[in-house]
Amino acid sequence: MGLRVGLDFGTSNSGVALYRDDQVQLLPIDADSVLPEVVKSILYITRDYQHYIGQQAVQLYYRHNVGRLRRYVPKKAGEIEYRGADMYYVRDVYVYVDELQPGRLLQYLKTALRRAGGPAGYAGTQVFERYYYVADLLQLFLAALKRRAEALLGEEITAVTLGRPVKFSDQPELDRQAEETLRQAALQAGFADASFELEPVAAALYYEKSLHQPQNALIFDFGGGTLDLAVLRLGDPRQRQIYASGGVSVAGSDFDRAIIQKRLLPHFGLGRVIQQPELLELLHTIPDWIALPELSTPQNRYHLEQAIQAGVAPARLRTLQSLIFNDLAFSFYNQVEAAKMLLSSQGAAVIELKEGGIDLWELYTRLQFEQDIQEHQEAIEQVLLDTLAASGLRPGQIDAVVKTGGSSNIPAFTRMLGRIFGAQKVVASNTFSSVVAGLAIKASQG
Amino acid sequence: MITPDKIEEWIQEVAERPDSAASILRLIANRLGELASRNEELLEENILLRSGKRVEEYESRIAHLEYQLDLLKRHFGGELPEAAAAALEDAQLATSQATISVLGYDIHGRVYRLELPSEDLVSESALGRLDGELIPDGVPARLLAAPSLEELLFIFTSGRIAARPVSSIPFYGSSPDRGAPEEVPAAPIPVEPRLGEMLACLAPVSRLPLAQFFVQISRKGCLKKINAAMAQSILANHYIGTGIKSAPDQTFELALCGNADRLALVSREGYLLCLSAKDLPFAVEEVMRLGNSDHLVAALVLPPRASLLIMTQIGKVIHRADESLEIAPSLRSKGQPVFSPSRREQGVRVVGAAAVNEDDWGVALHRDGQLSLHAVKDLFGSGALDVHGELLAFAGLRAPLS
Repeated sequence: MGLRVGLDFGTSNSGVALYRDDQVQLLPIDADSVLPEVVKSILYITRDYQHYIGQQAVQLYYRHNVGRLRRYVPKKAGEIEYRGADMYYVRDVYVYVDELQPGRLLQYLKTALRRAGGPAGYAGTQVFERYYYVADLLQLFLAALKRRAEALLGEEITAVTLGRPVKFSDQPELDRQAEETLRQAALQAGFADASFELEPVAAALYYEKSLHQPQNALIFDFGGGTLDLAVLRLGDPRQRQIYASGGVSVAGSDFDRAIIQKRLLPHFGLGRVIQQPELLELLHTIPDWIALPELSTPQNRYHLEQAIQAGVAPARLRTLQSLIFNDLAFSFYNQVEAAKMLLSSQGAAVIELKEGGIDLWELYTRLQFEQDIQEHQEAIEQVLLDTLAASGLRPGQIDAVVKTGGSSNIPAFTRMLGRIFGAQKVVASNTFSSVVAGLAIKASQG
Repeated sequence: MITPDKIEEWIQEVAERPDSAASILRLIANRLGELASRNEELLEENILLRSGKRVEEYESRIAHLEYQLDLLKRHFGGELPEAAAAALEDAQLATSQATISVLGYDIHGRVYRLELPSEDLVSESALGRLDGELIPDGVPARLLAAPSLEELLFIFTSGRIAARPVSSIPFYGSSPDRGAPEEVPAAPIPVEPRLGEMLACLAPVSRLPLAQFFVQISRKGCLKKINAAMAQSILANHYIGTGIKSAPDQTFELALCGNADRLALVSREGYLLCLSAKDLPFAVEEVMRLGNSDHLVAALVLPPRASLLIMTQIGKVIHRADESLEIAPSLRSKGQPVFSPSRREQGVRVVGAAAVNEDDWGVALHRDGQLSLHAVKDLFGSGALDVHGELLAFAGLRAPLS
């Protein structure tokens, strides 16, 4: 009989754990990572359809892409029919494809899962000559995790308990579809059995191991893609009770986008570019780093060169050109994220990008950050209060507020929790591993 | 980019959290240090520009690049300025004195190397006898003829690759003066196969800078095209991929080509498929449908105006002229038969093929290990060669600047 593991498939990071002999064993899945128990939820597919995950994917992406050559060739995308005068015309439509592109880097796979449902949903993506549905991408990622975990454990893994956010979607049908897609991906990845547990509940199971007496706890699981909340009675497994759960699709990646939108776009020409819609469109795409490499077309290079020659913010547009045409979007996003994380422990940090001729430097303070995410903070506080109200408990009846997930370290949210519940009640659980640890405990219970 | 608004926000941060002052100060001081050093570099550059020294430097660089361009043109036969004619003669003399290496190799990584002078080759002559098991595990040894200055890529069935110069492999000389060596033993294995992998092929790669693609071909007729721009990363990683759709198929050949080239695939049971390189897929796809008992014995790029010479195990030469080679209209075809079904039933099989011109040469490996050299025009004239037992392999040999 094979092993049963817990697998936290997060928006930014993932992990695998095993619960055995009353101990949680976090598996060092990504040996190349600073925290080997945490693997980045990133998938890199090369032109010959080899795929890589985690730090290996990141390293390969950099090695293959930064400063590489490009060659655009027209490729027929389809036909359009239009009516002119008294007859219909059919015309071929071509798109320019970079035939030297060595691979595609895919991040936020879990967000894709949330957007996968419905007739207008995100079904998948074309990677060179193959079309990958969302389930295919998830399957590649989960299968790679399974292989690595089995290699570490030296035993076959047959069953998995996967974490899931409280809400993939506000619409129950889309929520069910997202869970089913994830289940099918897990089964196709080779797990014989796949079950689910809400991520905040999993974090609660882990926290419960440290309790000596029953208490009411609020789990504040705040990661890269969602905020998940659960109000539970913990401490006695026989009387465990979930009073309420809730969530909102706001988290770390939204904060990164807010920083870029509010602070960094002027470095690329925003404010100086006024009457060039093509350039403004490029500028407003910067916060979406996955879309940025798609902008490296000959037409965009032409528009940028024309504007630079015409003296429209030439230094800033050169920076934009380098960001797009040197595939530096991923580096740029990483710098923004790193600075944001630093602001959890210090009052100021620098967002810096010095590659491909770019010299971007922005001193960013915690106060600025808190102003930039003010709108999100208000939405989050509202969801928190709504969930608490749904549980039927008052703040004073909550014995502990357990915060977990990368974004839970942001001081503004710690302050908010302290203000509502009392600072002494706010406890930090293992930032990146409490969910996966709880999932392992759940998996062991069958 | 520092604006008064931002400075105001930094001051607010310090007012809110006085502890932040130290880190803000440190970060700004670091930046100032950087900018001061950058400013100094720019001032120096400005002095060089104004004094004209930078212009001189660029003129000298341009002259050097023009010289390198001339060298390349000479090497690859482009248009030449008259002034370069004398230098070209020297280059031709030096190249004509280069030698050719005939390499026999097997799946276990054993390589035999014979070195021939590029001139004074004698048709129908024996080059030497390879000493060793020539059909290990039922797979005959293969042949490759390449200039001795060539760089070889060792490609293994696992997808691993390793690059070695031909000159690094110990050789035995064969010349009209010294005669052929009696026995040619295998050289010490140049690149040891790892557990579970076999040597799939040796591919000459010195023309890589001029190629647009690698084409990796499998034994059962699958192939994929890889952009040559990825060569640096492939060589650095020592991995090109297996190039197969599923086991037990294996990598068979790696060729360099351009968009305008044609690729010829020849199977053991005598089918020929000619494809246009520009239509080849980037993902591994089956392009030639082969029977269960059939597999490829040659996969080669056809230069313009080259004919295809196909050799059977009984020494029969099959010639396909350039104009008769038709590009297959679609992938996944079976190809055209190069001999009749009755011959196939009688057991005639293809052992090799080469893209040749009339002035080229061919090398044949016989069952008893003998290597023989043949002028292509003689082979086309007689339509056959004398065989000792049966032939195991055949390869074309193009002398440098021939």
